[in-house]
Parts: sequence; structure tokens; C-alpha cells
Amino acid sequence: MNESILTGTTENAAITGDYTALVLYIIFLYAFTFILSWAVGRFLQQFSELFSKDRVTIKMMIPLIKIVFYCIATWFAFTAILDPSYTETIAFFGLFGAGLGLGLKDLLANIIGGIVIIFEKPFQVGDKVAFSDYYGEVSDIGLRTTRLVTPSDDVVTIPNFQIFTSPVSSGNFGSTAMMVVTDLYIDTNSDYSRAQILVRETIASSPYVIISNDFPYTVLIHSFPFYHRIRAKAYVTDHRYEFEYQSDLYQRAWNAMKNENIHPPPYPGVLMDDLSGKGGLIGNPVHKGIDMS
Amino acid sequence: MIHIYRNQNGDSTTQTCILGNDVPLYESRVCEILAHIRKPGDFRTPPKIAIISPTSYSRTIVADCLSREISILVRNINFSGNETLLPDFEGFFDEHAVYICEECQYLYERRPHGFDLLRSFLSSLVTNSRQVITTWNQYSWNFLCGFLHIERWFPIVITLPLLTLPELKQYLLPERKDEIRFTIDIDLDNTLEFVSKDLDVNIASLNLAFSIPYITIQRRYASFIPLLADKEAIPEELIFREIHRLSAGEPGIAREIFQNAMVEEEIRFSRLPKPSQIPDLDAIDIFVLTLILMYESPVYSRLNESVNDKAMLNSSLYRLVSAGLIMRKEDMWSVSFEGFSSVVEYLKQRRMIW
Repeated sequence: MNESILTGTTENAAITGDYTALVLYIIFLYAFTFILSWAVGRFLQQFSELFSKDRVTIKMMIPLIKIVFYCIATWFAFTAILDPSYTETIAFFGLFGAGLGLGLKDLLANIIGGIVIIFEKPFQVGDKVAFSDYYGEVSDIGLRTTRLVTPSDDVVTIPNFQIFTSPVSSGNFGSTAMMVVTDLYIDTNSDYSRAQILVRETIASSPYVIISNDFPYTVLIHSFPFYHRIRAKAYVTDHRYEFEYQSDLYQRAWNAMKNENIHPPPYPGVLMDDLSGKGGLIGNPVHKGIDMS
Repeated sequence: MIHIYRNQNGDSTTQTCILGNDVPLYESRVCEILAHIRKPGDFRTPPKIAIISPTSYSRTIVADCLSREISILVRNINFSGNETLLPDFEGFFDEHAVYICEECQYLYERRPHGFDLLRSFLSSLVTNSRQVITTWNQYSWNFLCGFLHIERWFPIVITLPLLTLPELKQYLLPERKDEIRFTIDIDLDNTLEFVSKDLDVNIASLNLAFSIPYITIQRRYASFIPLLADKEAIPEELIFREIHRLSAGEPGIAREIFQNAMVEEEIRFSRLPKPSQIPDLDAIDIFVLTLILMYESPVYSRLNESVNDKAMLNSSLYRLVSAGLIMRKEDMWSVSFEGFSSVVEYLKQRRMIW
């Protein structure tokens, strides 16, 4: 590497115009930073999977480490180019900031949004979040965008500025355990008290659920004109089991309720009288799998 | 004769308890239970008592001691045997006797309709004036506390604690202590390890007691003996330390390990089992392991009722047996002695038990 350039004697460089070493140095610097942050991120991703309880906490560190790495690399690049004095540094950042602020307003807004997300932590990597029409697990919080993996394995990339300025709900907020709300609907002629007990027992029988004083469960009944709603709220051991748990709950609960003559309501729009005595043929009118309320 | 020190409403009281028979373990707990049992001429409604412990060994010891100590008629009922023992509990407590109902965790199954028998039992329990003492697996009890708030049916809950190393040593070493030889016949892995400890702080003037957790590094075996790190350690101390580590202080598990390691009055370190390593388990495997730990010796059909999928259950049992975490005895499955502490630690970390 051309030492004269790095030591700040820019006169020679200006005269000779030989910036090859400097450019190579900066390219190498950012390539190295990219590889290092990727490797550390990858390592922490794999490492976090070894832990059930602390997985999300470990993943939280990934974006923070990436930002630190890139800040250090930028500082090295900056000093290699200019080797500025204190006054020059202040002046540079002032002008740089103003220039970027005008020219790259949206990009900066996204970057600032990313930094705010990292420090304010409205959600973290590994959380299940609902934003606008999207719901999924946060796989990455980058400087410009945040990525979600939806239940159908689609990757959704959302600019940080949008997340920063809109409401986001986090289902587990840094914990692997997450409350899952599942609704079942039964007709008005069915014994809803017995149905409530059976749903409770189904929750207790699920392999995916934690029941303890710290993670209580509840089963609530709400009566509507043509049906009763049974709302089951319970914590799954890992938010990744959300849909397995719901599927297990539906299957076991309906099997148990079928044996006790508890039936789903008829479809909306069909008169109850027409179907009296013909229960057991109709499925749930509404499957509300995800309810963040 | 032992003295019980109890602290109720901030007052310390002393009671004298005279036991007619030898009690190998938990003397103070036996005395505490006896103090709650209604005496002739006492017209109080006796409180229902629950005795809980991680394995049946210590509960059975206490229940047997109580049977011997109670002078009036005692009815012993054990629910661990026949799965279809009792259709309902109507008139179950009609006889004038003290009832000792053991292994009550078998009264429920983790499936829909699986708690009806337990509800019936609890209902009949609180609608009679008999003295009833029940024993439960600790992990099942904790689960039922979360699910049913079962503690509401039992004003007196006696927890049999795990033993400390000196207590365990005292219990395991028989009277012929001097005849037993302890031998370290293998090279011990004396590498460094991280150990979590608690520093107990007691400020008497402020009536404040708390502990500060910290992590320290020490040698795996040698430094267990104070001032003997890197020197020759006492074989007896090392062997008991290892038994305590493997059993987590559970007397039944420790006794099995101790007896299995003894050959002709000699206990060799090499005969102590290696702690089981937990492989990567999925949700169903963890659930099956939890069920086995909660019931202690469930039969296959009971597990199948909960898992509801024979192929999945067989696959889980195969994986758990292969890893040395569980073992089969006839039709019953139980956690292996060498796997006990690892399984408890693992399931606690997964929040399946607490």
C-alpha cells in the first residue's frame, strides 16, 4: 500500500494521481467487513439455535454488531482518505450530513429508522410480528430494511422508515414463549360449559404448551346470537410451534366435543331451525388463527 | 425424639415429636405431618395433606413411616397399579380410618376427558371428614397447580427436599461404613469447568438475607476438596460428590447408583454411570420425556392416550431409549438413573417442568 497516501501526505498522491492502493484498500476494508459481519451473524444465528430460552436474546446482538463493524470500517476508510484534523472532521460531517440529508433523504430516514429499531427495540430478531398486512418471524434487522419470514416461507422486506412510523405488534417480544389465541365456535344448543372444560383439557394435553404460574392459560366464552365463541389463550413453548399447536388443538378438541354432542354452528345465513337435529356436518364459520389482540 | 421448629405468624415455636420407629429420612417432615393428624377427641375437620417429591422413593418412605406411626386404622391405597382401578369415588372414604392415597398423579391423563377421575377424587376428598394423606410426583403437582390450582384442595403441602451432599452421605453410608472401600480406578477428567454458585449474604441488623449468584472456575474433581486442589483427593469424597451430581440429591436415584457401584464391599469410581447427554429432541420427544418424568412409571397405553399417535410415540421412545434417558421394565417406562439429573435440568430449561 502506498504509505504516503495513508499517512496523509496527499500532495504526492494528488501530483501522481495514483489512488489505486487507496481504492483497493477501501474495497478490501469493506469486503473484509462484509465477510466478517456475515460470518459473525451466521455464527450467532447457528449458535442461538442451540438455546431454546435465549435464542432471541442472542439474535438481538446481530444487527448491533453489524452496525458497529460498518461504523469502524467507515472510520478507517475516512481517515485513510483524508486523515483530517478535528476541525476538518466536524466540517466534513456537517457538509456530508447536509448533502446526504437533501439528496438521500429516504435512504437516511431508513437508516435512522434501523438504528432506532435496534436501540428502541419495538421488536427483535426472532420475534413474531404483525405489520400492516404482513405477519411473520423477524429474520434480519438491517440498516435500511427489516426482513420477515412469513408462515408460507415468503421473505418480506420492509423499509425501516415505514416500520418506524407505523404501529407494529410483537407476539413474543424477545421471549421464545408466545401466547397464541385460538377461537372455536359451537352452536347455541351445545353444552358450552362442558365445551369449555374440554378445551381446557385439550390445552393441558398439548405437547406445545407451557402451563405454569408464570405462563397461565385461559378459556373464555362469549355468546353471540347464533353461536358461542370459545377463545383459548395459552403460551406455546416456542413461537415456532404456533400453527402446530393450533392444528393439534382443533383436532383434539373437536374429536372430544364430537363425542359429547357438541357441534359447530351452521354457516352464517342458514337458519338454525332448518338444521336442527342435523348437527355435526358443518365446520367452523371463521378460523381466526392469528389474533394479536 | 426430635424437635420441630416452626415459624407461624413470625413466632418460633418448639414441638417435641416422639417417633416409635426408625425413620431413615425426613424425620422432621414425618413429625410435621403427624402434628396435623387429628387426635381422639379433636373435632376439627382434618386438613387434607399432600406430600410431594421428585421420585416415589422418598414419598414411599414417608408414607410407610406414617402408616407405622399412626395408631388408629390406616387404609393404604396406591393408584400406580391398575390403570382402571376406580370408576368413581362415591362412598370411597366411608370407613372410619386415616387414608393414605399414594401416587395420585396416576389419577389424571393428559388428554381431553383425562381429568374426570381426578376431579371426582378431589370432589369426594373435600366432601368427607376423614383424614386423607396423599402423595404426588412433584412435577405432576406443579403442572396441576398451573392447570387446576390443585393446592386449593390441600391446605397442608409437605415438600420432601433433595438432599445435600452431607445428608446424602449420611443416608447412603450404612452402619458397616468402615468395611466399605472406595477406589478411584480411572484417570479422572480434572480439567477446569465453570460452576455456578451462590454467595449467601445475611445482614442480621437489617433482618435481610439474600444470595448473590456468581460463576467461578474450578477443577472438575480435585478442587472439590478444600485445600487439596491438584493434590491427591479422598476417594470417598470424590465418589459421593459424583453420586450427588448424578442423582441431583434425590435419595432413591442415589441409592440405586450407590448399590450398583458396590461389588464385594468395594465401590469403584469406574462403576458409576456416565451422565447421559441429551440429543437434539423435537417437541413430541420432549413431551414424552416430560410425561415419563411426571408419572415416573407410566405404561405404554397411558403414553399413547396422551400422544395419540403410535408411530410418533414409538419413534420418540426409541430415540429416548437410544440416548440412555429412559428405560423399559416390562410394559412400564421410566427415566434412567444416570439420565435423571440431565433430564430434569433439560426439561427445566425448556420450561416443561419447574
